[in-house]
Amino acid sequence: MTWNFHPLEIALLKLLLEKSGGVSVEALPVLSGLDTSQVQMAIGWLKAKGLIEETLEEVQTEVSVTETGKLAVEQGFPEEWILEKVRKNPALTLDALRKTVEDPAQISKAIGELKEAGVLELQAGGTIRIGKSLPDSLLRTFALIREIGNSPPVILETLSVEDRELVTALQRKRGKGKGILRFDVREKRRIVLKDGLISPGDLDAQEDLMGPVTPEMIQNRTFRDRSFRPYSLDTPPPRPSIGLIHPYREYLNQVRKQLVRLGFEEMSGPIVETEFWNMDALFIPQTHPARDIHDIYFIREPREARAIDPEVARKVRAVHSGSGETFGSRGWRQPYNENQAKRLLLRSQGTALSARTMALAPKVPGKYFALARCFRYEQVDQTHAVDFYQAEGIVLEEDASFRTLLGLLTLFAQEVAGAKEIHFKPAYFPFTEPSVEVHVRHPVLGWMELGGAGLFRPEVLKPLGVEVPVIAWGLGIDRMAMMRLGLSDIRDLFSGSLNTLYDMTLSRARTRRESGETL
Amino acid sequence: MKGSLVPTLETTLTDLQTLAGTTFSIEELERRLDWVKGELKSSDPKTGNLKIELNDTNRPDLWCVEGIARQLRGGKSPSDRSWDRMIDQTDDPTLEIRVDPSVLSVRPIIGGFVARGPGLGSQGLTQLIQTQERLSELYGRKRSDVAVGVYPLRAISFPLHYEAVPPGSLSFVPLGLTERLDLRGVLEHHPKGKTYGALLSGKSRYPVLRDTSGAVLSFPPITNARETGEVTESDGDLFIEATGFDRERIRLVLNILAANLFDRGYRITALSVSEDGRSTRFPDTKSHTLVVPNDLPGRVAGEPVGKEAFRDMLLNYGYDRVEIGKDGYRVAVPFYRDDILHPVDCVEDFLIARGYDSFSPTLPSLFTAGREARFRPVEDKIRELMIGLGFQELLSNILTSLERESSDLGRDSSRTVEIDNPVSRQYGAVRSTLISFLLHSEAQSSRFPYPHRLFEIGEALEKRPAGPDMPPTLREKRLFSGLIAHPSAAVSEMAGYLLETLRYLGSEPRLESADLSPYISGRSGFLRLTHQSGPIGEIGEVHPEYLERWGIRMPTVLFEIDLGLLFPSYGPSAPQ
Repeated sequence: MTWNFHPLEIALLKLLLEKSGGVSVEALPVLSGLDTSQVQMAIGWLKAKGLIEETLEEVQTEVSVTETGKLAVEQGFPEEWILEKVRKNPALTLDALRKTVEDPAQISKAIGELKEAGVLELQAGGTIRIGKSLPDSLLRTFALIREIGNSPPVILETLSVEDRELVTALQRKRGKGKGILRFDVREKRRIVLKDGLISPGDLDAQEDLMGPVTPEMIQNRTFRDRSFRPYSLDTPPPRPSIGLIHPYREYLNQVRKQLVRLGFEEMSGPIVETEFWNMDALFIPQTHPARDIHDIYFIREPREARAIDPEVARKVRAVHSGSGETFGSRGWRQPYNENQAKRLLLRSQGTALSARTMALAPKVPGKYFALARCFRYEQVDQTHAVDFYQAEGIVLEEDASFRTLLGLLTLFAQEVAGAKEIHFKPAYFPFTEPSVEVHVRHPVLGWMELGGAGLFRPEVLKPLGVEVPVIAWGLGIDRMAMMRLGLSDIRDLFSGSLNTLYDMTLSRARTRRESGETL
Repeated sequence: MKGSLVPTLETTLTDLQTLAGTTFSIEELERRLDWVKGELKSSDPKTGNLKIELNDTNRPDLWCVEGIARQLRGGKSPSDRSWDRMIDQTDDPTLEIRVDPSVLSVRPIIGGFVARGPGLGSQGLTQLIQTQERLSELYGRKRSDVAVGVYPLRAISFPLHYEAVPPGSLSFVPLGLTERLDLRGVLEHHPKGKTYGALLSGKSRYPVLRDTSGAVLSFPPITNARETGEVTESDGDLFIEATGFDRERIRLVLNILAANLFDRGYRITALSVSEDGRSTRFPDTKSHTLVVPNDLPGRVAGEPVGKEAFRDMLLNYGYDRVEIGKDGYRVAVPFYRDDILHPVDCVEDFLIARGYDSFSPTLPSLFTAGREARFRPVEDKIRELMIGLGFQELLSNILTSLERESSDLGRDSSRTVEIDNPVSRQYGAVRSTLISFLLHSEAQSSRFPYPHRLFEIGEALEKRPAGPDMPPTLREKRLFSGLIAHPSAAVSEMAGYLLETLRYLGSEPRLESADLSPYISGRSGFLRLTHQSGPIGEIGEVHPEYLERWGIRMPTVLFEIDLGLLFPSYGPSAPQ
């Protein structure tokens, strides 16, 4: 068999032929004079040719505490201060306990586990009692973490069997994301030449062959009467780094182009809004539960906008309070607070943009849309993102009606979501009447909500000076994007991990090819 | 569009079917729930337990199984009795609540009624408690606007007295405890007192409801008394009250509860509330009427609507009366609803009653020209250029933590906008720069093959601190930022990329050395359009001290450009 070697392979093979016991990978760069990446390439090629064997000599796991861990070491573990709080205040309820921390999710797991272990007991009336003391294994775990936190990284393999189990169990239980400990695995590997496959002679013959074509070679014609070393084309080439549009951006762009093609003009507006535009102008009563501090992000400073256009504000006030010019409405019949209207918040719905557009003498007939970043007051998890994109828009037309609204939604369901089966469900939004939710059938996931829509209420239109009926619509664009990009966790849409990002892009490429899309 | 906070109801298929007077499969139920804007969240075939989400936050009458059954029956009571038989005609003059003026500045409005019947059974009681909770928590906004109390009638002697007394002057045994506490003690020690006590903060007197013997029935809106305030399955006769600030809201809540009890076979006796010589009766079942203009149903639907069809659909949907008149339909709304604000609300009920799927969709017919926002072409051009240079685009969340924005970059936090009420500190600030996320991304991606070249374009927010006579202001920016990381990354390479990109955007700014954090001194600087003008951006090699802080093990260079300063007519502005 004739071998065909790259000079890097030759360099490595020569070394290995000399050292029958093999060489540790760590030592290779020094011994061969190659750099680490060259060594890695050559090892890869030789392994593919079946000439060498790579063995794992030793695994060392460095354990250190993460930022979260440092905090716990400094301030105590949730389990510990939960107990302390309960001890200090016998009348403490679960709810009140949750409220003592900024991030209730942080402790709810600990509470659950303590309840299960019988350490916390719920009593009638909602107060908590301490039952058993903390289990020994937990106490030892805490002590271990403190030890690790107060020393340079500890090697896992040097710990006692019991401690090692505790530490690894902790890693499994808490997951990788917000773990307390960080594990860095360092592997020591060794490569050995397999017996009897090549001899030093195999390498000599190779050295006469010419390597890469060089400008000098062409100019001096040194290639004449000599042979080139054949390259093995079946060796996987190195992957180049590539620059790509973010796959979610690509999807947003596609939706934007579709909407523009359908005659929609794009709106844009501020992410910081006033309560007035985010809610009052949309006829959401000032006492509505969705305006609570648990549902909207308020800005700490400045707290209020300088002013709201007094003319529009006066008209909006009238429909809210139900006195003055109310355009045939009874209004909410509740006091209207002008300072509340000025309060600054993070836009919670793209409809705020539609309200602003309607107040600025929009075109009739007119179609507008926005792909707007909105903010949701929720614990972040795999189905809830802290901020997200919403597709949102309006259609102003003399003859706009419930049927045109259904027509538009049908068009979106077909054009944007590629759906064939559609169902319209009655819905409620404070600013539209009638209101509708559009559901579409996904081939795999079954029926799902695509978006909400309706005809703006007169209480919204008239104060803003709009005299024609207006269709308002919104589409849940993040969910559609997740389907396209093969994601099950919404947080991945805004992930910083390049691996996640490239997986998303490749998954999109595959679904595109499989579904026969041309884009 | 955002759905609001939605009430969720737990019931059983049997209870719902009994009340609705018909049986249906789960699939059928899912479809029928369209009529009440409900959505079946879960159903357990073994126990028959159902979880239903009610999306109409403006129709509290539908937040209970009785209300759903009633609506599915087209507004007829599940008890198969006519609504005009709901209130006993035989008046009982002793059923009275006397309101003392002392309560007017504390929690002025009270209403109530008496319900007599066969006992609720376990399902009925569970539902009554759920409904009471839901009306107080959601409609009553955590009891601040409305709080409801339910009592067995047996131990109560009328008339009742509603008054406000000093916190230390009265004591009673509250529900769930065994010892007497005065009103202040209830706020301090009772679980409900701790939850709702803030509703009475700043008041020097607290409201109490006492019966004629002087026994405390309840301490609204906190808790009932143990003696008189615990309802059991076998309790036949009940007394129900609601307190708050708005007579209309109290009226609606009591009307809904009366209708629900009537639906379960009860008879209702009205109760009068007297205050300063005036007297009001609850429940008050007089229907609200309005006129729907003749042309409105057709205009909203988008097709001709027959007068009889409109009338019959509304009657089928539970309206008390619909009269066809010259200038419109005179419509009487059921007494348990208060969501009809405008004639258009009746039209929606017509559409729902007929079925949304019965209308054939038609497209808007007028031509309009589509157009992208002004700043899109510039951004698309930047993306094209960056991708040509091999940069990968990132997208990140706008909310971030204050530490990432400030101390992690060695910058002060005076320009970062903070959230007043964050869910967690991790998302407690609005980003003022994109470079934190670029660094975060690099830190997360050390196992991804190098070189790394990353960029992002997006909105950010900057606070301009208050001046001597100026309040702080906000400026929304659109930023364009990039990162490179690989073994030989240096500022010159990045400056090359950046200046080349800007050249193709028609701009040739100059680099000017400046010491900025988190960069290496002497390897960072500003970009300016001219000598005199302010900086439009920055560039620099990240100091290893900060790389270590972020957990990055590779030389890293950053830049950031404020596109609004490069293109003066660009992007949105903050609200004025």
